[in-house]
Amino acid sequence: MNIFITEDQRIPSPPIDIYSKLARDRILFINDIEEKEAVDLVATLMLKDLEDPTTKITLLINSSGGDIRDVFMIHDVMQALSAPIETICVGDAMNESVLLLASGTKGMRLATENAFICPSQLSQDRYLHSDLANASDTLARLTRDNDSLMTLLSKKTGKKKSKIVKDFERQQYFDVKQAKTYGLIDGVVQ
Amino acid sequence: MKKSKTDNLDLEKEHTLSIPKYSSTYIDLSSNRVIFIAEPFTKDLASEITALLLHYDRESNEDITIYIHSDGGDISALLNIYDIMRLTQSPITTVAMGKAYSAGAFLLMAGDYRMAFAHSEIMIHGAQFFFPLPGKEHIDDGKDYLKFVDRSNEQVMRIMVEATGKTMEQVKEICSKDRYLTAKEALEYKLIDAII
Repeated sequence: MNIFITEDQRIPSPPIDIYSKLARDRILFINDIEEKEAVDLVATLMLKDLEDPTTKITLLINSSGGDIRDVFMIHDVMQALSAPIETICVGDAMNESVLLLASGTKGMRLATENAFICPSQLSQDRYLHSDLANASDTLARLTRDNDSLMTLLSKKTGKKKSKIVKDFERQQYFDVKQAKTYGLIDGVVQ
Repeated sequence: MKKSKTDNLDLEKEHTLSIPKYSSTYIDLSSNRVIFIAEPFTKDLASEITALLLHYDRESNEDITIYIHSDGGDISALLNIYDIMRLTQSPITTVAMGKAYSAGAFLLMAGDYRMAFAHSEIMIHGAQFFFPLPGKEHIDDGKDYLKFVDRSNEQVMRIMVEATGKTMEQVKEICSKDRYLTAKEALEYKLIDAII
């Protein structure tokens, strides 16, 4: 659904969509992550950082994950920006999107009261479309991506990598308190 | 009765279509001379990028940045963009964001200054084609087409020869299968100049 609004009815101006309107107040959304949307988000993040590198940018996350390449791209750009980034989990953050939640600026990683944070190891099915000759290559790439995901999560939480790998072997379902104890978030939005 | 109902639906559809998310972002960003490639390479995309490059180049000769996050695509689109890049006066920085596969990787290495984000992935391979050509059954048609693909492949490989300083044989050997590289490996292959 595309909602768009005209700002002042008396002055004719082109309508803008609701997300652009909120982006002006530096509030951005992450939903299920797809190629095009991910790049739109990254472009908007860069724009907001260019406009004002000192004021915080808020990311509202309600996502069940997506392609790991898109997630790594958003993560890398978040790290490259100088503006502080506040991440807020609303609803749930699952699988890969947990990384984005945890990679907000330290002390600014939040969740709403009834949110669920569900980290897991990498589960990707796009790599399975490959013939047998390339299967070992494919497996190596998958392992490498999973490895970098686990390394990043261990950095964000301050826990050992071996522990992270063991804990996330099966999908975890953390509520806000558990996620805070685990170090994935810093606080709860009251 | 039925007809009027569908008419209404069509009207509604027309009103709710268009205007994607974050539509104003790219308009606001255009003063910063950046281009985002976030889709497979097609002829349409090539024309869009050509138009943008020509427009930016006419405005001034400052740096232009192309961000790439693409699965690759058409060779003709790649060569189109590549040739226009060579024609522009402004220096062009290319940046691989999440993935730069196939045509995206060749565009990446064609920049004047090439960068990649730390967790990006770059894939290079030679030209590919679909063989049974619809409407062309004669064996000579097949041979001609194969020659044509081979020539396009040669042109693409030349981009990599220029970018890396390797010989044609070495480049063809590297591109004989799908090679997925991390940013670090791409730096070793001299496909990029720096990791962000």
